[in-house]
Amino acid sequence: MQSFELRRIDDVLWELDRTARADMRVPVRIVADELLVEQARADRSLEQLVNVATLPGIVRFAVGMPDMHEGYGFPVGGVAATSAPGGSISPGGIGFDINCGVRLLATGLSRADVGSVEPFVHELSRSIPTGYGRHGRLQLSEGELDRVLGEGCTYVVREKGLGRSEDLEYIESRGSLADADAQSVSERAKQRGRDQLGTLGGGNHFLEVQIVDTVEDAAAAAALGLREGEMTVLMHTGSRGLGHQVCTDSVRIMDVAMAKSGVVLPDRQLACAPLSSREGAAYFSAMCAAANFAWANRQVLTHRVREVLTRVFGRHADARVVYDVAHNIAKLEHSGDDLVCVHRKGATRAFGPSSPELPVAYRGVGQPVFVPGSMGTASFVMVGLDSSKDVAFGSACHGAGRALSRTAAKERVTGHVLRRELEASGIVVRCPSNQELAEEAPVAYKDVERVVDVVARARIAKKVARLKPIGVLKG
Amino acid sequence: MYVHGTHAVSEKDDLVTVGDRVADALEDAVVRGEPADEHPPHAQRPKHRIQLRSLEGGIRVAIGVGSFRDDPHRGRQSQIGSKFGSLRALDAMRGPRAASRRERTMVDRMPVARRENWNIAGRGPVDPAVEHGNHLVPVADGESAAWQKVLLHVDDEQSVSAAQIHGARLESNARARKGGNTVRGMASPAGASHVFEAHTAEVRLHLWGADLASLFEEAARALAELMLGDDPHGLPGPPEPVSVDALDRAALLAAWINELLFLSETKKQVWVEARVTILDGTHLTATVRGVEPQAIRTAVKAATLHDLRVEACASGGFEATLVLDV
Repeated sequence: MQSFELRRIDDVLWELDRTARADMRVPVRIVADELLVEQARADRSLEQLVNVATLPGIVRFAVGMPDMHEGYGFPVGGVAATSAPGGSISPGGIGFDINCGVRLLATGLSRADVGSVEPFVHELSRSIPTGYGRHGRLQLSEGELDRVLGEGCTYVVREKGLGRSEDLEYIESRGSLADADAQSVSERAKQRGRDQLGTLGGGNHFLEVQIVDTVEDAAAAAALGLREGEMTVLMHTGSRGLGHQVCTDSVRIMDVAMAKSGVVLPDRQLACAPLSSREGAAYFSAMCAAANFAWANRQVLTHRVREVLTRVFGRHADARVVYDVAHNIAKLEHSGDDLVCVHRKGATRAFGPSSPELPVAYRGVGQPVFVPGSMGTASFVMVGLDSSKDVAFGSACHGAGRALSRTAAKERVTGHVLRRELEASGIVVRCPSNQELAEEAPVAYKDVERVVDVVARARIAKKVARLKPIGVLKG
Repeated sequence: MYVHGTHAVSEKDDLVTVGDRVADALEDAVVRGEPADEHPPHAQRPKHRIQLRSLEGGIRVAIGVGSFRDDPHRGRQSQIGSKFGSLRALDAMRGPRAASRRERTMVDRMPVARRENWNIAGRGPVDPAVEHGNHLVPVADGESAAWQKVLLHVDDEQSVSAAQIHGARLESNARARKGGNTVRGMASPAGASHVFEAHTAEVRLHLWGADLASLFEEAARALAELMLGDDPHGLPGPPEPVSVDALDRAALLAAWINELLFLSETKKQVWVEARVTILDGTHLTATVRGVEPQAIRTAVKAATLHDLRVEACASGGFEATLVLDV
């Protein structure tokens, strides 16, 4: 593994000059403190970020978030912007789980109102399909699926009645990307996704019930409608098999196109095409469609959570969407006066208070950013700062970031012992597999408090509230 | 065979935990010049007996996996005895909670740590050499035992309902990546094997095959193992045809795995058997047979092109590396 000399350019900002390797087009930056820099050196994430810096059309720098770790092609926690429309788009820079993201719901119920959370978590586990390949209760016709792909949450709310119009304002891009084209999505992807709307999926996807433990910024918390002691629900899921297939199809197509044109990149998974090319444009519109599917998925899950809330806590119980962010996506945004395609792979948008894209209620406050910790540890709500545009193309981290492989985690942690420890600390756990539990153990992840602290020091986002888990549902 | 000890098994998933504690052995053991038995009878049914290894000196170690309830030769025998004696040779046989000077035969209750040695030539159970202390494997014997992990699935009536043998054979030119940590492999036909190597977030798979077809078949086996874990499964269903083409040999391997994943999700099956029937550089056809899984242990999103390679080995055969997004 090549060693790279990083130069500190700010409190928690480091840079590797573009001369570090001959094929780099831009420098590489990482947002980290000394410990996180060492963790980044421990795997190949830094080398992968250097590989990203070779993408045709990349501008300014490739940047790694504090939770960065080794992935495939792009590191997880990597952000890169390419010029639009002439620069490239790389499906690996978004990932197979297109628009994997997080949505936070606020219930208005206090801990005292809730009492034992076990019945609520139990009902959630009965109502929300989890696990790989399990079909949801929503069966879509071909035409309906195309509407979901083309319109996302707008269709699901307005024509399927699975939500409220006011939900849309609190979803990134209102849960519907206009550049989506259902015809760009292959039949194979549609086959996979047709019965998966409203499902959580497996792996590290989860639905967590929390209590607002600490409010760090009272004014911002009030604007977001969060109160100390309030019960919240955080869901983490994406576009399921449909998104996986869109990425698989596109990587394959671009790999062939690159071979024909003689373009060689240091990692084959970085396969890319100019955004203006047939392949690039087709992928972008398919990616937008898959992103719409993921937002629609989280919207259907929101509807299910609301149903369970009324069933358990009475008909006045409700859940309000605080916000919904994507952390595997590419968006066309402005960097200064230039239009760029921002690739966020395990990174979320973090627009500041002056952004016109924010809901009216959040203007002057900042876009909510969610940083889930590992199972059993705290999660954080932050709001983006205007300075995030300069630091990382308006991007923040997406979570604690893995520190251990699944294998190493299972060697250190015994699943059923962890389950008992979580339950002993007052967390109701619904996870059918002790093995999966062990793989997602807290020891497998970086310290979320440190990651959030670095994000704040980097002036990307500021802390608003700390959420403590009281129940978790895993696939 | 090395048995770590007894564990109360109250949850199905605990079997995984127990299994994980049994040492993984990754070396081909050659004991006193005799090779390991390369073709042990496959034991999925409780009544099959498995010869794992031959040891020198006429001592055969045969692991019989049977349901005590059903075995007509054993019935409900209770043979419990204690043996005192001098220090035994290491790794010949150890019972649970064995003290250094005491050995126990434990029959008719589970987990079975040791039973009478069987003469698999069919002469029926004979006085086992171990019980009479007649084994002559010296304490200082430097040859290592042939390690394999035998995972026994036990039902509520303390019967063995299934057994799985795990052991990885590595080619002599295999190497672990820096920081990598082999996990386990699945017993495969001669000339094919695989290991999973650790990756921070994904799974890296290293494969070997005597030829390209067996390499691709091994990839399918590895995928099924990853998806199913150690869960026992039923008999595979009818064959399904598969056809894949790609830009080159390496891309074909990724495309093959991605096709299996697509078929898994759309047909709700995990493909436990694969027969690659035609293979050239960029095209393959195959038949696969699958099972309906009770649960998916590891959800695999896709095979990536990251670190992807398929290469001929200098010593013959092929090896490959593939990273899976999980």
